[in-house]
Amino acid sequence: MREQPATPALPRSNRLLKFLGWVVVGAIILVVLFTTVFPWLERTLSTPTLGG
Amino acid sequence: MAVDEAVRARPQGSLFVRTVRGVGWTLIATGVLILLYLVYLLFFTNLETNAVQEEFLSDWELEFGAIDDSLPGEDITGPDTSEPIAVDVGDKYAVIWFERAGELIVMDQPWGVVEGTSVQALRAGPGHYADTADPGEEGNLSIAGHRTTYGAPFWDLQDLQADDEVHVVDRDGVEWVYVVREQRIVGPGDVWVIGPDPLGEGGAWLTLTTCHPRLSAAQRLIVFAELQGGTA
Repeated sequence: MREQPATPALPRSNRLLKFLGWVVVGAIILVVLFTTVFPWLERTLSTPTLGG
Repeated sequence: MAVDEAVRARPQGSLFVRTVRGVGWTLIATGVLILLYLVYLLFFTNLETNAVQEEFLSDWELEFGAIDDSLPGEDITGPDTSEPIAVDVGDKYAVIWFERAGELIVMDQPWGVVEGTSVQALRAGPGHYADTADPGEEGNLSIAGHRTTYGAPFWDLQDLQADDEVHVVDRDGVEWVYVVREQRIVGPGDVWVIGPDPLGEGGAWLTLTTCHPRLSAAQRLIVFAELQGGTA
């Protein structure tokens, strides 16, 4: 007899939810990187102006 | 049992383990993106700015005449008293280079200077601080340039010594020569260095600003130069 996997496969709706969850997390990370982290890195590496 | 069946049969772990694994991969992916952006900043922005500068200099010669005119021109000894030039932010403003005993120093070739010192403007090259003097004018012509990233035009600015020459060609085709007087290291908030008379000596001055040390914005390296004259 064929052995069953220890954890049963997720139903299709749960897999879709899991995928959408990753999409949302990825989008949040990209937004934070492009609006906060990358400009901060650019300013930290080289800011030739004064007062800003 | 076949190998693939054994892999399939491997327990996937508790919710806690799966969550920690997911967070771990997310952090690794974020770190890789940040590293890739650093590589872009330190290397690829140079290629972008060099391409912009190549276009800037060829357009400049078409619009405002040759940059290094070997023909003798009319000498101008005093400051420029003509009306201030109105230039939009990001537009071509001047061309700058440095010489010691007739040899180029600091930069391999002349660089185009744009109007304005916004983040976007400085990606094209050194930028003229708005509301500071124009080339040859009484007051303080102030120019900022990146020391790293975006072509790093002022990478070697610390090499300038007293009596080195800073050449600035304006949009009228006049080549103004400033003579370096001194360097200073100041804080990022020391805006007095781009004021109208930073050294309290009057006359026409040029102030160059860049970040210090390299790869850091903790301080600013400042070079003060005094107007010697111009050639129309």
